[in-house]
Amino acid sequence: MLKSSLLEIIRTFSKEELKSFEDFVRSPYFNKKENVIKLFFEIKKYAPDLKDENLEKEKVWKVLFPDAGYNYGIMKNLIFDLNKLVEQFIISLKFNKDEYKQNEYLMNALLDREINKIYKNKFNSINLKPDLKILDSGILNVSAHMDYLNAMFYLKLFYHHQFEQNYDLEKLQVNRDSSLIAGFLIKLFGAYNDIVVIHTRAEKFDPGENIVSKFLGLISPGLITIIDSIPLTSDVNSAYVMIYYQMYLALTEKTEKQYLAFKKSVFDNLSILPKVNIKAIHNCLVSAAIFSRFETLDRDREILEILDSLIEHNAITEIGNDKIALHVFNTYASICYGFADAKKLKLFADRFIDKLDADVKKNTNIHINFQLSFLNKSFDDALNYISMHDIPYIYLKPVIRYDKAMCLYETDNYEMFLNEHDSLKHFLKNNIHLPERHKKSLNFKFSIIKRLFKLRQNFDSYECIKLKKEISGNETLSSGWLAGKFEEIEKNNSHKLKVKTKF
Amino acid sequence: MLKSSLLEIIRTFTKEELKSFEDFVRSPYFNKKENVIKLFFEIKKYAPNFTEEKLKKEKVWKALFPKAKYNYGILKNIIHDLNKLAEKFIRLECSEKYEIKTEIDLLEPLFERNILDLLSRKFSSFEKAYSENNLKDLNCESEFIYYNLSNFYDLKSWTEYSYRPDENYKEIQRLSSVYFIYSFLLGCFKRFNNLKSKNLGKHFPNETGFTDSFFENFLHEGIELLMTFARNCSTIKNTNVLNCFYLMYKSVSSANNVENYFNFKHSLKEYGDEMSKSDLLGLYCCLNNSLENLQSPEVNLADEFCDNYKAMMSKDIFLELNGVLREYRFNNFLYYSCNADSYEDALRFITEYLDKIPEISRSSSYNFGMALVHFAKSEFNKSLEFIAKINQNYFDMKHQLKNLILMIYYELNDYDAFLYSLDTNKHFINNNKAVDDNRKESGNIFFNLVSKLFKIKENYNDYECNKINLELSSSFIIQRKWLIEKMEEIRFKGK
Repeated sequence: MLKSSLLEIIRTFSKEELKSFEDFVRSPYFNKKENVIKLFFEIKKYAPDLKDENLEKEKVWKVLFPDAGYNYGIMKNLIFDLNKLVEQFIISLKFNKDEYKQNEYLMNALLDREINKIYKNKFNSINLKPDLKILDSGILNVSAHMDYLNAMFYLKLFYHHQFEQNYDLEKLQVNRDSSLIAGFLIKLFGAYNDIVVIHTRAEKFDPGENIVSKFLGLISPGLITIIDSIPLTSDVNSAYVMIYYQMYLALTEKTEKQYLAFKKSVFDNLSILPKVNIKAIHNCLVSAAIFSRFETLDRDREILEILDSLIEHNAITEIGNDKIALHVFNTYASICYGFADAKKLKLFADRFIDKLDADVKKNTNIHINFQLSFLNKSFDDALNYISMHDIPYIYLKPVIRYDKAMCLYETDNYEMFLNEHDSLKHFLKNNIHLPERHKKSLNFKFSIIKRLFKLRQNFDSYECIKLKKEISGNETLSSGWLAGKFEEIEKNNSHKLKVKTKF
Repeated sequence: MLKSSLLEIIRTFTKEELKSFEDFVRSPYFNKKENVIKLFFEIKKYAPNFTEEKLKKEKVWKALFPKAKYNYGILKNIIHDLNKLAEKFIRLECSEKYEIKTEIDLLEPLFERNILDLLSRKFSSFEKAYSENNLKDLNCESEFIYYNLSNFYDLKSWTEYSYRPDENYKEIQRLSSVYFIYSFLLGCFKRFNNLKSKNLGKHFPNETGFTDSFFENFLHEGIELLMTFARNCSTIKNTNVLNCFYLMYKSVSSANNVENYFNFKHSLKEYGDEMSKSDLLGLYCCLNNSLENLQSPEVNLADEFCDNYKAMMSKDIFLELNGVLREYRFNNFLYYSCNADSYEDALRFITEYLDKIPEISRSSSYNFGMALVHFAKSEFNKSLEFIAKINQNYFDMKHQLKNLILMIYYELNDYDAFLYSLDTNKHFINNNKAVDDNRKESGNIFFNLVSKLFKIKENYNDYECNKINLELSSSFIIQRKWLIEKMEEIRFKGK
């Protein structure tokens, strides 16, 4: 039983949830089987870990039925029943948090049963404006509120149609359409962002092959007319749609100007957004920062500002479980590392390392220690941390390889670097999941380090100017560690250089 | 307490629901208050009517606390708690209707709790349970199913994207997008039908309305292109349901296009078996809306309505999914079948379906049906007797009755009553805001023709007869069959 989904789910329960589940199992509405209750109490003894050997099926059987011989079938059924209850319970937890769904189902039930008087009184007492408290406690987004409005207006239309033969419902119909279309547009723009993000891993991105892009392309000519008509029915819906529309424009136009317009609309409207949307729209802002062609802005600075805003609004961790996603953690850390800002990196890591999933925490901590050691110029320590690394994620592997190459350069270990360079070729050849552009980028960086090694050993003006051109021509390298190392060589050999140029 | 919301809710419980509610009240997950359980058991004694005097607050108090003095505040709180439980109970029972959503509601917490292996197994079992072939059996509207499938694939693609390095997530995400757009399109098509239907369309502003802006800027321009894209999109194999809705939209949007109407009707015959009963029922209602707006002499409206209703009966969607027959559908079938001259069908229908309509409207509908049947049997005075018993309670019925009365006075050759009734009808149709333009037009055509007929019945004139005949052959009104019959009678007598 130790590996059963039943225990897997119960292990995730908080103390309060376990207590509440006890009530759930003992509730005749859900369960009337005494043996299932007994099984639960036996399992509960070993909370919170639930890893005790006594939780082996045969041992549990012995406790439940001391006088009977082990019966696999009966035991399996008991576990199955309790497992069903556990699943029902977590659905119930979710439902209990969602006030909008509760209202919707209640109103639906009242109409189904034709309890019209109560329906009418309840409907009149319900506040249909978006309520951030309800949205945040239910972990709901603005689209959920619009779905809710759509459902409530539908029920009201149905009620008037069915029971009052009142067809003069223009305003109600307009409100329902407003919530339907505003909700749809927000989801549509959000879906467009998802497509863009998800396809970035792909070598060739053709958004036109997706029906969402096709749809947006088709309605584009009239899109602004549609959006302009929303304030006629709802200012709040209009504000929400406008933020997402700006996002769509930023992702399609990819200009610095449109990115800034989108950023402004997000930062100006944070007070009306529920937490789920604050998080989602910041993610979209990161996408826009990644895909826009910046002329004056620093991309990493922008991303860091967006992530700092997420921290400020307590939305950098996942809203359901307060965990921080590994890629978010690593992005923040690597940008700080890129800016050589050890203080900011340490502050961030100290605050959020415990919010990582247990299975990645150890390695990430090693990586942070590596970065801090590197920034504090303790390169031997840094190399030591790298050797301790056990990398479970493919996308981290190239990063660690580059980190190691930098350390080897800093410690002037050319032989070792050559070995690493050699093994990189095999790594890139055998790794089919790594996008081609990442492979090219890593290969390029290694070749630059190799040339830096050589240049440091035997300075050559011609090679120096050539290398400088290559580094300055590459957006990702021109302000990073490689550029810094190049400047060091250039400075040390300034007397040998005839022409001085700046990056 | 007899007039309380609590009892109002409990009175709607079936025997099984009352039993289940007992479990609910006794469940510590929902309630731990002994007095609330006691109150329930006291109330339960008076099931199923719950109208006993003993359910008055003071008497209930006495039963619960025989030794304590009546305390309004305490009892009010106990009733309040039980009422909350009753609301929670019906809400929970209602959520069972949304099975597909409940399944997804389990997946999201598994994702949040990072139980990935189990989540992966659940993804597979969900896909198996909700494969394209099984969707029609879900008894839900496709718009709702597609919306939930979109959410499901969205969750799955993000899980794959986050935890699996292969490229599978792109295909899954495409599925999410397709279902999302399909769901919206179905919603739009349905909404479009609402706008154009006789009961809502007439009130809707055509100039600056929000929805019109959307429909003008999208549906009329891009829909054909998008439908072509959807049909060629290999992600979802079966686009027949979407196509039927699209044909509905085309039929509803082009009021006088007989070809579009029949294309839509044939699509339902051909693909009806591939969709859920909810969808099919909705689409047949749209078909009738479309027919109502069809102003073409090529189609005999009464016959066509009867044919549609019979198709609904044969596909087992004439009744609502809960087994109830809507009053208007019952009355409409009778009205159309009598206008189509098949009163025997109407009589059989009354016997078979009367007990399916809500009790409250049963007697009115029966009298209405019998009035129509007696009219069709040329028993006009009997028809009037039944009409006198009708308690007219909704708009369509009033309208149909007024026309029937006019026809009866024509048949009875009572010119004064006919003129009076004609005047009332004209007033009703032209001054009533709830009457849409189509109905005004067809109503006025009918009044005009029936008045002319009455006049030439009194003073036969061959020239006038031919003129009316010409008008009749190009008319598209429900009563055309009856009018032609009367015309023939006049001609026969005149000659």
